[in-house]
Amino acid sequence: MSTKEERERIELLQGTLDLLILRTLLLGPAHGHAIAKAIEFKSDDVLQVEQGSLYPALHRLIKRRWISVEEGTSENNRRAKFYKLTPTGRRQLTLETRKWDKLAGAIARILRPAGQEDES
Amino acid sequence: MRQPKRMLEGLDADIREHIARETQDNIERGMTPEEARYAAMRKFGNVTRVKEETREVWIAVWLEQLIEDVRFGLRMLRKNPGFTAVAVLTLALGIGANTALFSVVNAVLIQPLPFENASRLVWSWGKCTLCTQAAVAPSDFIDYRAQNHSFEYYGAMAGGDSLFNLAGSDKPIQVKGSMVTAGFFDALGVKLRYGRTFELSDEKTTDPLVVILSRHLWQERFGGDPNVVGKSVTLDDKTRTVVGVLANDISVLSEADLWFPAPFQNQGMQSRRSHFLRPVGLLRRGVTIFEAQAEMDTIAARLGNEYPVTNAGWGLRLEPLQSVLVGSVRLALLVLLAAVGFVLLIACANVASLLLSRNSVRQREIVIRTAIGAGRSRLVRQLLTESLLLALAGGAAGVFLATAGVEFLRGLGPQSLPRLEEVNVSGTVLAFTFFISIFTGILFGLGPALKASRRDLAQGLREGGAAGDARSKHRVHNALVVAEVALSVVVLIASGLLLNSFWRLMRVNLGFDPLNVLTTELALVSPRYDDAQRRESFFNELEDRIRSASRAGAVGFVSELPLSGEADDTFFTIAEHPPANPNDNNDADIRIIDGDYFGAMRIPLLAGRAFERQDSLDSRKVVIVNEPFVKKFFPHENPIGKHLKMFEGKPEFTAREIVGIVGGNKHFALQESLRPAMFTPGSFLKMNVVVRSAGDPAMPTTAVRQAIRAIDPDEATSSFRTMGDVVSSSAAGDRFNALLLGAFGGIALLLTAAGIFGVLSYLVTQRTREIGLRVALGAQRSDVLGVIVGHGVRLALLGLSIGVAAAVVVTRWMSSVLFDVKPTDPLTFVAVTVVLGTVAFLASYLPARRAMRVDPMVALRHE
Repeated sequence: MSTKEERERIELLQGTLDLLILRTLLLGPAHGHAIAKAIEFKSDDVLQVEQGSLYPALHRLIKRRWISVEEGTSENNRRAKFYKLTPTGRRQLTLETRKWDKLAGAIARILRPAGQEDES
Repeated sequence: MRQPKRMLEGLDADIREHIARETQDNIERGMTPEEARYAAMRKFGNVTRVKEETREVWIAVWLEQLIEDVRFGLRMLRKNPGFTAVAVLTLALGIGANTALFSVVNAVLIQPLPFENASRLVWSWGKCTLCTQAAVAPSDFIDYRAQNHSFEYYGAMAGGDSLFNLAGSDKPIQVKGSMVTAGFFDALGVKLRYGRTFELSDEKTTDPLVVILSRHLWQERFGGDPNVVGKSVTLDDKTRTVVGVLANDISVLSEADLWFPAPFQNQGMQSRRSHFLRPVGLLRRGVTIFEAQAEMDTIAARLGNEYPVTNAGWGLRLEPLQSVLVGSVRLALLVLLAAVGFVLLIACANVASLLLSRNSVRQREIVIRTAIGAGRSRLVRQLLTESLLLALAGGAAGVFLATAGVEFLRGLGPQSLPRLEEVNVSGTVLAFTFFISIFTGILFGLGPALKASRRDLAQGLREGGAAGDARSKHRVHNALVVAEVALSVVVLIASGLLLNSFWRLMRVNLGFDPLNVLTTELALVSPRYDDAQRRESFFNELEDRIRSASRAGAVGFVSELPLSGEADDTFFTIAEHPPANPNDNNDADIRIIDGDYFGAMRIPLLAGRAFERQDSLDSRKVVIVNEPFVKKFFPHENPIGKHLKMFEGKPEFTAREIVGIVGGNKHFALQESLRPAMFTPGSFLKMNVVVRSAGDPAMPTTAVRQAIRAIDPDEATSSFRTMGDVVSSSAAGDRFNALLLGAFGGIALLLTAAGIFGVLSYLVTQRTREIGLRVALGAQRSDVLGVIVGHGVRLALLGLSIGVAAAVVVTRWMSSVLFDVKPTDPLTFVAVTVVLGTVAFLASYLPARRAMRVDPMVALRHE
């Protein structure tokens, strides 16, 4: 059943998903399905979100007051919940992004020490 | 806005909406509607779990689940009453035994002594070059008390109680009085109901003028009179004034009925040579016991310089009071605690294997729960809840067992255990039980729960019920049996060693014959017996009257009865071998005897002669010594005719000629080696009457009472004991340990047998089809029997070897509670191996017989 493509996709760590949601909402309010699509699209489908896991994450962010939620209607006139970044969430995003960059840089340095780049 | 309820309201709709959008997208990508919907749902994941996880963000979902799990768990336990009963009973035994023993350990070792500032209370032992637990001389005590700065209060009590006749409105009664110094009650922080404690001024007398009453005496004898302070009481014809009443009894330190202050002006209280005070002090806040010890060492050195004759080499050794009172039983209790802990582990192994067996029957239920979306952690939690319910039920039943057990324990060891009266199932103990119940539940439940939830879904559904994959399941079962056998080998060997040791202790040569010997304490109260000659004729007449009245064998009197806890020793030198330094005194036990003491006790006369009546009054002073004394002090010569110069309370030592040698006897404890002792003829005011009767040792009771009344109606004796009882109560501690560890061994054996039986029965059920097949293919029934029994015995043998190896390591730790038995005693090891092997065989044989009777037709139709 599993294809090569599926195996190459990366399962998301919980904290990473939170970060990606915040990043997506930076561009403006969105409903759940749109957030999922945006994450998949922007990462060229490499990052695979089991879409259901979005919901506990959204609620976690609401609980921390990093995002807020309001009722609205979507592009095709369907009822939908729109999630929106709060000022606290915006600050948190800057903070988390910086942390993430640091971590990613560190991991990259460990995995590819200088001079070995062409070996891989 | 952020209330959980409102937040979760639209969740279902949101999810439906989400899937609808995804389906729509998929259709737009060219899928059929059916394909599109399926793909969308796959992409979304497990809806139930998503909803549950989202809810968990908002509320303490675990609480909801817990209630649900508890309800479900209770239903499951009710549905399997047999399983539930066996598991709860097993746990009740394990937890109950632990609770009972912990209540003893808690009261004796853990709870602080019932004194204010118990942690700052320090006991002082006298120490010299050869002694570490001596008492302290009164004049030394006064110097230590006056010169130290480490103690807030420093007081002392006399080593033993004295008996007094307390006069009252009706007949006088005999009471126990104890001498204490000023500062004693203050150090202990004992509260007074009325009046005051003793002060330094109370000590400035040759004869105590005041007394303090114990609470029980005040209630029983003085009717709880609130105005008793200031009233006079008559003790042995002397009048004293009551100055105080204690608010509580202090039986852990002193069982006296009343206390009087030490009369330091008295001639007898000016000594640095006779050591009889037991000091106890309350450390000042912030002062450590080491600092106090250093200060006392300095004072001791100063006293040694000042009074070299009496004090050179003497000092104090400080020890926390708690350790003094309970130190001797600590190791034994810890051994028992370890053993009972092992029993609990065995119980856990039993219940774990029960759970494993049952979970495999429940496999289908578990698989279905997984299939409809229960996460693994959710499943584990649910199974653990059931285990915890079992454990708590076991714990509750265990508390009932323990309450009965504690009653039993209290009855077992009246004198052997200090603070026994404080032992009960208290709040602390209940908290302990609750804790170990939870711990137990996790210990036996977690493994099976993890294992059950690890099942591969598809395989589980396919295989369904009983005939699951046998290998790994059996491995765990087998491992549990091996562990159980190994644990119980260790417990059984420990209890075997202790029982063996106790058996030897009971058969040790006492050096006297306790059979048919009756004994009682006689304290002469009338002042006319202060005269030695009158006292002698009293005891002579008493001996004659008892003998003629009761057809008694021999009648004798001794100052300190063997194995009763009484003791006395004195200094001496050998006249024929004077020491180089006149102050180098030897020291040995001394007893004053009268009548035919050696005859009554059947202590053999090895050489020379016994005492005759005129010996006690003769100017020619004589002494008899025992065999250990000869071995130690006259190793190469005949001591008869030699002379001992003995300290008898006067500065001039008394020279006595050795006229006889008797066999040694046990005096302090059954475990000790025989001690050198000297016997001199005569009597004290307080003697132990020893009567050997022809038949029933209780018989001469009346004869003794009548004889005393006939000689002097003012004198009376107290209660009678047989010498057998005296010996037996001196071994009460060892009996307590042996019985308890024996009981734990029994429980361990029982649980292990049940465990082996349970696992093999389960295996037989699991392999019914296989066995049926084998029989159908022509296997003999005896082959089937052999396979099953062989399985059980193989496991048992593996457990036995592990257990024996472990026991060799572990029991070394017990050597100091064993008497005359090595921790690796081969007999005990072999006996335990044989017993456990036999039990394992029987426990395997019964299920095997059932397997043998399997009908192949029924078995193959089994599923």
